[in-house]
This record gives sequence, C-alpha cells and structure tokens, in this order.
Amino acid sequence: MKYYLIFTFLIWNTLFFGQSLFEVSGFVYDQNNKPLQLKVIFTNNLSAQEIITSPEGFFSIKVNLGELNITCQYNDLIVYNENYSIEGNLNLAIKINDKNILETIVVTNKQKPKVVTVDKDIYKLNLSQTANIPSPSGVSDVVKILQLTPGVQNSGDVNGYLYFRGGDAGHSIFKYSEIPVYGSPHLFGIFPFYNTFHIGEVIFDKTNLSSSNGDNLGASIIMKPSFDNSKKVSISASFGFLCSQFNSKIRFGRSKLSVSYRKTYLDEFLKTFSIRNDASYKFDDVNVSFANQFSKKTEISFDFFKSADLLIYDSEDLFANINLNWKNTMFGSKIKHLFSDKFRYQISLYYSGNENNIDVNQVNLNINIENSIQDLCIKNNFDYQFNKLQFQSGLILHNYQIKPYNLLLTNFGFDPNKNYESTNSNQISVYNDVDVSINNNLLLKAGIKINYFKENNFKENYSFEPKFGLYFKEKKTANYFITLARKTQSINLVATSSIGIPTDFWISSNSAIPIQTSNEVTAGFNYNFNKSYNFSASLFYNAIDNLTIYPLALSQFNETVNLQNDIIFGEGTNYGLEFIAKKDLGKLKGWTSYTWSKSIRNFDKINNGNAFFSKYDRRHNFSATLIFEISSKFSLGLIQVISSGNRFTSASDFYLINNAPIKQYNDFNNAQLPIYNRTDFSINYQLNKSKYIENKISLSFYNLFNISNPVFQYDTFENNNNQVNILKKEKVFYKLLPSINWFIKL
Amino acid sequence: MLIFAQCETENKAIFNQKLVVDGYIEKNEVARVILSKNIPLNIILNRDNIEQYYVRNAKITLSDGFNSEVLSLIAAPGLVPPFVYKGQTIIGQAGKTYDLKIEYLNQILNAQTIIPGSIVINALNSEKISDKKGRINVKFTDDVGKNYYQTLTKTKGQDSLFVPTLYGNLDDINFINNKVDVAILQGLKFFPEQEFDTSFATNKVIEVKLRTMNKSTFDFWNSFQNEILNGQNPLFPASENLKSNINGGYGNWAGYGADIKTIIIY
Repeated sequence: MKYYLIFTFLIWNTLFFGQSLFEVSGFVYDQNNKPLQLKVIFTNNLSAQEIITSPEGFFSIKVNLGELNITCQYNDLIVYNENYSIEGNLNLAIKINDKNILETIVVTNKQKPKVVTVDKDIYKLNLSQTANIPSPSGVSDVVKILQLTPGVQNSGDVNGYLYFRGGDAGHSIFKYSEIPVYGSPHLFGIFPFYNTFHIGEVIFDKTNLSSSNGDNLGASIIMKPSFDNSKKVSISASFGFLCSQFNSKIRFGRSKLSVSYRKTYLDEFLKTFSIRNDASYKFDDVNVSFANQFSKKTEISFDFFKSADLLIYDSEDLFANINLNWKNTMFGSKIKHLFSDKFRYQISLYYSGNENNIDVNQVNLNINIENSIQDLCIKNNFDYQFNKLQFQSGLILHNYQIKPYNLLLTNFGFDPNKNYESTNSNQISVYNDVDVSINNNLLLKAGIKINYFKENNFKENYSFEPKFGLYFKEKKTANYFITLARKTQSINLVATSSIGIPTDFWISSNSAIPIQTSNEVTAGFNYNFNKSYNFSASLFYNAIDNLTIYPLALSQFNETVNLQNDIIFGEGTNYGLEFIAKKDLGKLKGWTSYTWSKSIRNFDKINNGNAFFSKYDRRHNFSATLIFEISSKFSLGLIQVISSGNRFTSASDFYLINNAPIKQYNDFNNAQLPIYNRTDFSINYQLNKSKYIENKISLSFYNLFNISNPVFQYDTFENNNNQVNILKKEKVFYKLLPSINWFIKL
Repeated sequence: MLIFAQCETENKAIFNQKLVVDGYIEKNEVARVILSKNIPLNIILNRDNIEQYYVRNAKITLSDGFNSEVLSLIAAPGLVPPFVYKGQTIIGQAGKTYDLKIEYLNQILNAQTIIPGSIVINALNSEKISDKKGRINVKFTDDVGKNYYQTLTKTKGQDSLFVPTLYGNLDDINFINNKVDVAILQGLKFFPEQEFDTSFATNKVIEVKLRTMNKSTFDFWNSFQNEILNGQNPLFPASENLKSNINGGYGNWAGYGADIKTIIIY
C-alpha cells in the first residue's frame, strides 16, 4: 500500500504548482429585474461545475485562467450560453429576457435538451426527454434505457438488474439521490423500479473515479430528484392499463417539494377481462423529496422512498404455492454549506433498508426464508480549491446489518438450524481526490480511498483504492481519456436465481469471505462532428477477484452449512470495445450503440477449474433508439435490440435412476440461448400543450413482432405409454406487450 | 442478424457413452443392480431403439470381503429398464462392506459401499386433508452416532418401487432431539405413471420405508432430488450432475439399513 501512497503523493507534488484562481460572481435577473433561481453550469477548461443560484439570483464560483463557458438552464432548457476569457475576477449581471423564459414553455425541437449527453465516460440521461421512448409499461424505465447504452449487457427479459462491463448484478448499484438501492426490482424488471416523474436526471458514470460515490466495483448510477422551478404547483399523472403514477411538485418560499406515488392494478385488469393467471402481483411505491435554501450559503434537502411488492405464484412447475414479498425503505438528508468561495462542505445521513420474505407451501409443509440488509451511513465531503488544485476529501461511515438467509420450516418435524448468521459490520473510509488542470487542454484526476472494514467477531480488513485519469481536450471537437483504477466492494450480492428475485441476498465480507476487488483500465474518446452528431468509443479491461457463485437452490436447504462453505469463490476477466453514435437535434434523433465484449470466469470448484463464460457473457450487443417528431403533435419512438443470448448449462444426455430420467450436464455455461431480438415501437400524440396544461396519449408496443426471446431452455421427459419422450422446451415469459398511456401535466 | 448468427458459437453437446449403475444392498436382503447406458438427448426414442440402452449381458460380481457371487439377471416388470441383476447367497449385514465389480465388453467398473445399522419406524400417523388426499408423519428415534436417513413410499398395487419423498433426505444434525417426527411429501413419479401430487391417496395401502445410509449415498440422493425438483426450473435451474461412487460410470452403489411400515389413510 505504501507504494500507492508514495505514488499519490508524488503526483500531487509534481502537479502542485501555483496558479491563481479568479472569482466569477454575479446575479441572474429576468427582464423586469426580478432575480431568477436556476441552474448555472460553468465549464472551465475541461471541468464543469454546477450551482443553483440563490433565491436572490446570486452565484459565485472560483475558476482558472482561460476559457469559461457559462450556461444557464431554466426548466431543463438552455436560456443563456456565453463564453468568457478569464484573466481576472469577473462580476456579471446576467439578464435573461422574459421572452426566452416563455419560449421554454412552448418547446420547439431546437430548444429541447438532449436525451443523453456523453462527456468522457459519463452519460447523463435527461428523463424529461425520454417519454417518447417505448417501454413495456408505457412509462419511461431508467434501467431499460441504460441497457440501450454501450457497456451494459442486455440481460434479456425478466431481469431488472444492470450488468455492466462483465460485472455481476451487485456491482452496479443504483443510487436514489446518493442513497443506494439494495432491493429487487418490481416484478423482475417488467415494471420500472424508479418513478421517472420524480427523477430529473440520471448520471451514469462508467469509470467512476469519484471516491465519494465509489462503494462498488461497477458504474456509479445516481438518480437526481427533480423540482419544478417554473411553477409554484405542478401536477403530473400517467394512467395505463397496468399501472398509474402521479407526481406533484410544489415551490413555496425558499422550499421545493416533490411527491410521487405509483400503483399497479395488474390483477384487477386480468380479472376484469377474465384472463386466467396462476400469479397474482401487487406493488406500490412513494417518493418524497424536499429542498430548502436555508440561507445564501446553506441548502438542506431530504429524500424518502418506500416500495412494497407482493407476488403469489401457484406453480405447477415448482409443485408449490409461493408467496414472495419484498420491501425497500430509504430516507436521507443532506446539508450543503458554502463556507467560502474556495471551500464547500456537504454532510449526508441516510438509511437504506431492504427486506425480503419468501413463503413456499407444499401440502401442509411450509418453508419460510427471510433476508434483509440495512445500511446506515454518514458522509462528510469537503470540496476545496488550493491554487490550481481542486480537492475533494471526505470521511464516510457505514453500518451494515445483514440477515443473509433466515430459514424457518413448519411441520417438517425437524429444524435445519443452519441459518446463515446475521452480521453487523462497520466500514470507515477516508479519501482524497484531486483534479488538476495542467493547461487548457489537459486535465488530470487522481485519488485514493482507504477503507477499514470490520464484521462482528472477525478480524478487521483494510482495502485501498487508488485511481488515476488523464483527459485531453482537442479544441471543442474531441476528448480523449485514459483511466486506471482499483476498486473494492465489501458487501456483495449473492445471486441465487437466474433472473434476479428476492431470494438473492447480500453478504458482508470478513476474514473468511474476502472483499471483492477490481483492477481496471479504460481508454476512449468523444468526437463532436457538429452540434448534432457525435461519436464516442471506449476500450475496457477489468480483472475482478473474489467473485461469488451460489450453487444451491432454494430446495437444497438441508445441504447448507455456512456461507464460507456454501459460496464458491473465483475470479473474472472482462474486456471489450464499445461505441455510441448519436444525433441530438432535428426531427429524427436518437442513438445507436454496440458493444463487443468477453466475460470469463475461473472458479476452482466449477468446471474442474477450467475457465468458463459468465452467464451474461454476450459477445455482441447492438441497439438503436430513434425518436421521430413528425409534427409538433405527433412523434414515433423505436427501439431495436439485437444481442447474443445468455449463457446457460445444457445437458447432453440422460439416464434412468429409480425409474426417473436424470440429465447429465455439460461444462458450466457451455451453451447459449438464441439471439435476442426485440423491436419496440411507440406512437405519441400531443392532445394539447400550453403554459397551463400538457396532455398526451401514447400507444406503445414492446416486442412489436412478437418474437420469442426465451430466458431458459431445457429438456424434459414425458411418459408416453411407458415410453420416454424427450421434449425440448423453452421458457418465454412474455412476447408482444401493448400498452396505452395517458399523460397529463397541470 | 445474419452476421450475428455467423458469429454465434454452436452449443456444445458432447456425448460420452457410459454405464449407469442403480444398485443397492439392504440389510437382510440380497443385492439388486439395474444396469443401463446413458441416452443422448438429441434422438427420438421408441420401443425399438430404447432396448439398445439396456444392459443385459454384463457380469456383475458382489463380494463382502469373504464371499463373492455373480448376480443373475431376472425380469422386473414395472422397472425401467425392466431387468434387474439379483444376488442369491450374500445377505446384507450391518457394518459390512460390499464391493461391486461390473464387467461389460471391455469395461470394468468398481464401487464399494457399507451397510449402516437400521432404525425402526416407531409409528406412522396420518391425517385426511380431503376426501381423496391425506398426509403422513413418520416417527423414529435417532440413534447415537452420525446418521443419514431417507424416507420413501410405495403405494401398493400402483407403484413398482419405493420413491424417495420430497425433502426426505435427513441429516441428523438438523434434528431438534432424538425423538424424530417428520412430515413426508410423496415424491415425483415418472414410470410407470407420471404423478406429481405431493399428498397421498386415501383408502390405499401406503408402504413407508426408512433407510439409513453413508454420507456418499446421502449426497447422491440430495443431488438426485435437486435434479428432480429443479431440472426444469427457470428460477433455480439445476446444472450439477449427480454425485456418484461408481468408478468409471454414472449412478450409485448403496448399502442401506431399512425398516418398512404400512398405513392406510381413511
């Protein structure tokens, strides 16, 4: 470790050379000289900073010598964009014509913000612009849209996890306003887990060099709640066949509030149309976000999210009646304070909890399994500038309480007494990141994070994460970057099933369960052909240690011993090439992405120690997303996804034991499902749109051509007059899913 | 699509012909071995070609360390394959080790097992849950020492062999005390009739067998149950092969202590 510390020290000292920072401050007014509260983005050389002006319209920021671009965004639309040459302190009075503000209400094609912006390896998704993209439930789905970007493996139907650059499901954790979400998605990802009325922007940082966001090996995905700056009260609602959602945004004084609620009525819908169904499903969720500009220098915010799901499945395949219910509760608060122009501080406190309960009933026997995770966290983050260096330092304290697997048998007459022990663990992390603008074209990022982790009675573990990134900007047309990083993850998701259901559970590292580590390198570039067309490409390689595979099914409860014994540990190597080509402006816009990748695993206890492909090793992932605005009222959305199939373990032959056919399996994950091919299409019609009301109806077709995309293939046997019939079967959960949605905003 | 199709690798299905042993010797009983071959999944089976996977001309030698005998092939209607190699002189005794040697064409397969002490079923209790269905509980006393158990059932006049019950593989580490009272679920049946009802029929004679076995055989039956339950389960798909103690083949050679009692659910 000392080499990394010396390395970091040397980098900072080498790059630590004095250069003055200048203050850019001022006020933003409308044409009647009323102060405007809006988002201001300062892009100085290669680094961007965002601030919200105070209720008095005031802003202040320190920048380096050189070019500065100031962009003001009002209600997601750019209303001011100017370049300045910084040679000293600058005081501005930015006046924005009312006309510009009003024009933002009557939106034209040219003024609409981009759906996705790509800068370096960071993707920003503007959810206010995704409504015309088709989705199975008729409303935007963050997970499904991210699956259309390069580097994210398409995991097939019925899987709500995000598999990124060869990593496992638990490596890319969604964060709701910085609070990690540990729970399973709504109905295996069929319904969107995140209410897009509530979220304004998703920041998908693929290399994630920020230590404050880095508790995981994969990408950082932060969903930011949105508020409405243009109205005092706004109400949005969406009504579909299967689900409805509602949001209200209120602004009062210096405070902003957003409240959202969603609910499905899938069961009632099926009953109304007398559709036979073996399953019953319900979910609802509520989001609340609140922000208050306490003073010129202090902002306080609060976020809350709660979801509850219940699935009842009377399964002939599984010979059982199964009840699954899973709940997520998250709340957190942040205080941001500006001590001076050079020194900002943020303290966050959050709680994130996930509870799962599975009940399996067979005649009078009952198997009940509970698992849960609770994460209580305090984060302190300091942003400060020292000459040319922009530092971010912090201290993070986590307490994880994990119940991995609590089994209760009723009427069996015996007690397996083999519950995996609940754990209570603490993690303390300290970090220091630095951004250095070497000149107008070259930016260097470096950082180190040191983690202390201790679980119950086990010995403590230390891990460290050095990170390094070099970014080169060539005029305004191209960015080039290379990053090197070592990341660690102390709590890990053990995936028990093939599709991501609440039997998956989290575990804590200890001296017997090693911390997962990843060493990765990424290189890429962004190229802007003009204001509309741009292209980005990346190469990635990562090597992950201490990956897990859990080989036991739910029915094998009598074979469990303890986590150290039952989990199989191994290594993974992932590499690939990915690109995205985008068209941001015009009547026809969208993007196409392609990823070629390999994801290889080595586990001593699997496949006789020989290498095998991971389940989501998909050699080719191609997608195209197009939005065609025929007129100001009519628009069409189209998604085309073609990718290699998931890996699975096939059987080659069978034999008879005790009058029952038994399959003999090939090497682990030797086989591949058929090519995944899906076309989604949507027609959107704007009934009316004015300053006061927006009214839209959308007809969406998921898997328009009704193509079978199986999630599982297997051989089964039928006793046909005492002869064995071998049947090839596949499990397809759904094909064509039409939906109609009515959206209204007041 | 065409490019993708060309780039996709073929699903590898490698077939190796192996002998399959389904054999056991119980306390106070002679040995029984069913011998067959594995069958590729990519063929269409019919009455004619299934015969080639039955093995009727092997030489199977059983030895208890002192004596040995060659098992004889007899017809066994209701079993698949419908033939069994059966012993005549060596009777299973608790604590003894039994070696099996199978010679077939140029192959020689070996396996060894031991018969543990048997445990008596103290009582069977039943309860009716509907006019046609009921449930059964088995009571027995766990012996000192390390024990592995299995419960099996056979409906008289209907089943041709004992079928392991669901979750019926019991490790004594899980018992609350030595007075064991376990509920049993009827196992899944494929031949001669497919039946996936986990409750028991009323007004029929149900034979319940309690077996004791060594760890190797216990592991075999655990892996058997996983395949039966999860072989077509999309959520937890089985992908592991059955554990085997047959050197050079598939299947299991087991020694059991056993006790049988009958019950009728009225």
